[in-house]
Amino acid sequence: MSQIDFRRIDVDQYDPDSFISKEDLTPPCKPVSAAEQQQVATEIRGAISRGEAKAALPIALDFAPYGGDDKVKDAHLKSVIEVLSATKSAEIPSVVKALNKEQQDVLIKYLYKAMGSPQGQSQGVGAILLAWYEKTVDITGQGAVVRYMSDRRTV
Amino acid sequence: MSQSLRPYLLAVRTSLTAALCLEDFGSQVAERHNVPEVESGKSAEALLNPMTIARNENEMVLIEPSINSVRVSIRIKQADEIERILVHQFTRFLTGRAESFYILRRKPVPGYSISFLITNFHTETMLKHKLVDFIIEFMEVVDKEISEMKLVLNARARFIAESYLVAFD
Amino acid sequence: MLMLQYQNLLLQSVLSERLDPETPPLGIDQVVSDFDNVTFHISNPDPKDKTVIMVSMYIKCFQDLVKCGAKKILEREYGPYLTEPEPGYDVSLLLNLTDGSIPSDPEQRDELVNKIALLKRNTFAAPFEKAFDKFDQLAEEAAAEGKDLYAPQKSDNEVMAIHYRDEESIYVRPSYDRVTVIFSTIFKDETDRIFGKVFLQEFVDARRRAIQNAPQVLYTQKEPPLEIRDVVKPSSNADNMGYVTFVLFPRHLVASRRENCISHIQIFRDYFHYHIKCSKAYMHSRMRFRVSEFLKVLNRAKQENVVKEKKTASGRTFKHPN
Repeated sequence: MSQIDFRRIDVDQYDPDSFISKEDLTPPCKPVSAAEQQQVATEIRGAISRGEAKAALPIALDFAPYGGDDKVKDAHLKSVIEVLSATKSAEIPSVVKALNKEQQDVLIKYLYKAMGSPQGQSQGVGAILLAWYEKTVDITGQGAVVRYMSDRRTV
Repeated sequence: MSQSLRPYLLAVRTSLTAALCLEDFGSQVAERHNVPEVESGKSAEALLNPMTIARNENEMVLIEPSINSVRVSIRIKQADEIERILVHQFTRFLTGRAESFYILRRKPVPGYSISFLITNFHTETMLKHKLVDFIIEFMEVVDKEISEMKLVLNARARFIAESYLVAFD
Repeated sequence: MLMLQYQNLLLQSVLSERLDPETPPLGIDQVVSDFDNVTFHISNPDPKDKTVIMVSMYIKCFQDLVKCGAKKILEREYGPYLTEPEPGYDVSLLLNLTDGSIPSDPEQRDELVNKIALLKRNTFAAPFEKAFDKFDQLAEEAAAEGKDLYAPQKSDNEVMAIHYRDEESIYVRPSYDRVTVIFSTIFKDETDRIFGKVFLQEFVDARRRAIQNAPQVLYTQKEPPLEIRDVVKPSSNADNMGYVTFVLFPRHLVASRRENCISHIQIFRDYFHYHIKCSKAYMHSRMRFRVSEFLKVLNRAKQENVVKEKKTASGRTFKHPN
């Protein structure tokens, strides 16, 4: 190392007190195991096959696996996308209205997550998600979007 | 406007409006510095959850909000080689003039065609809803411009080829 | 301007001025460039004698052209004016304004000037003329032997290669029912390459769509076409190389069209590249316009700085701390 390179060293990164990492910011959440998710996924799929996508959505949103690892989260995202795709677009406003505030916020979280993942970007799904997004925001207003940005608990 | 473009732009508009709540925020890491937190990325508590709005895998917008700055990156549709080169030329042309665009980032975020960086200093001197209007209009016009340029190129090529070959006859 | 001229315009205008007996003879020493690394030099061989003008031309691939009989054509076209080539150049013409070799009739003089301006075109015509003559001969033989004109057959006719640019060449190959002209092209710039591809695709499609009588155009990349596979030199840039094939059918080769056909096919590369550049320039101006439109929209977002004078109740002006 040459003489002046020490200037380029970021010494702060070695100071344990100077940083708050992403993990420190996340509030403690109940861990979710893959088995629990599996159980909910089966329940959801059952509801969809009975033609009750409306009933499946609150189940899926209440379960939001904040404490799960990436695998569990991805698996649940898949279940949510299944529910969203199974709902008729004309029914979306009434379905969203039937949700409580908490569930609506989780729905927005899932919509953003889905659009950011390859599952949600494939042809067709993108348009469905955008339709959901439009109708949900119509009902919730910007509040849900701001809560999505600032909530450290991610789905 | 095509059927799926409207909700797409609407989603971008909503998300961007929500994200553009910026305030002055001095760096916590370096004294007497005031940097866009989204660019420095040094204080996790100043960053917010990024938002992706996707129409399909080729067209998406990434909005990365933070306390004093928002980074908006756009991936422009590039269906084939011609569109790819046209988008490349066009974005290069724009970034070469970033100075007069204030909010244009000179280099796009990897994976995207073009990026904007809006800081609290911009929102202090410019109207927020008009800034959002600008981004939306930009997205709308760029798509149209690229496909028009492609059409013009094809039409020109056809005309050129025909008038050359006609002379043989 | 859609078409490029076959002659060299600058050469033409300089000479028509110089050869006009009404203009006083002036000293001249001018280098004129043309496409494909061709350079002209117009000068007075004896600086004191301004009535003698020499026009010299340098062609990179002159040796290739000589092999195809360029000397004969030059002799035919410029016989009385040909002279010993100036050092560094390949062909030289000597024009003496005083010895009566320049026609005094303005029309004939213009004709001479035009002919000289076509010096490059005529020199490059050599391989084409040779190929077309060969075609005549082969066609006659074929007719005599009663061959089926459309039966594909192997031909061992010699391919004439003209390496007219550093990395690009023209190949001409006569056959008894057609003459094939192949241009190898290379693009230095990525944008040129893609634009070029669009243009070439249209050349290929044009015949199918609109102009049935045009020569057939084929385009291949990387792999040279079968006709010239043996003569193409392996190059380091083989991957970027494209080959444009023009198939000239007997209808293009009849005597009345022959001259026009030769001129026209020569100009292909220049025409093609010229229009690629034009397209790029057009895109550029379009983008410039678009950028100014965007700026207008962005500037709408700026707040107008209205500094209103505020007064207190007692009438004193109140100034903002800024």
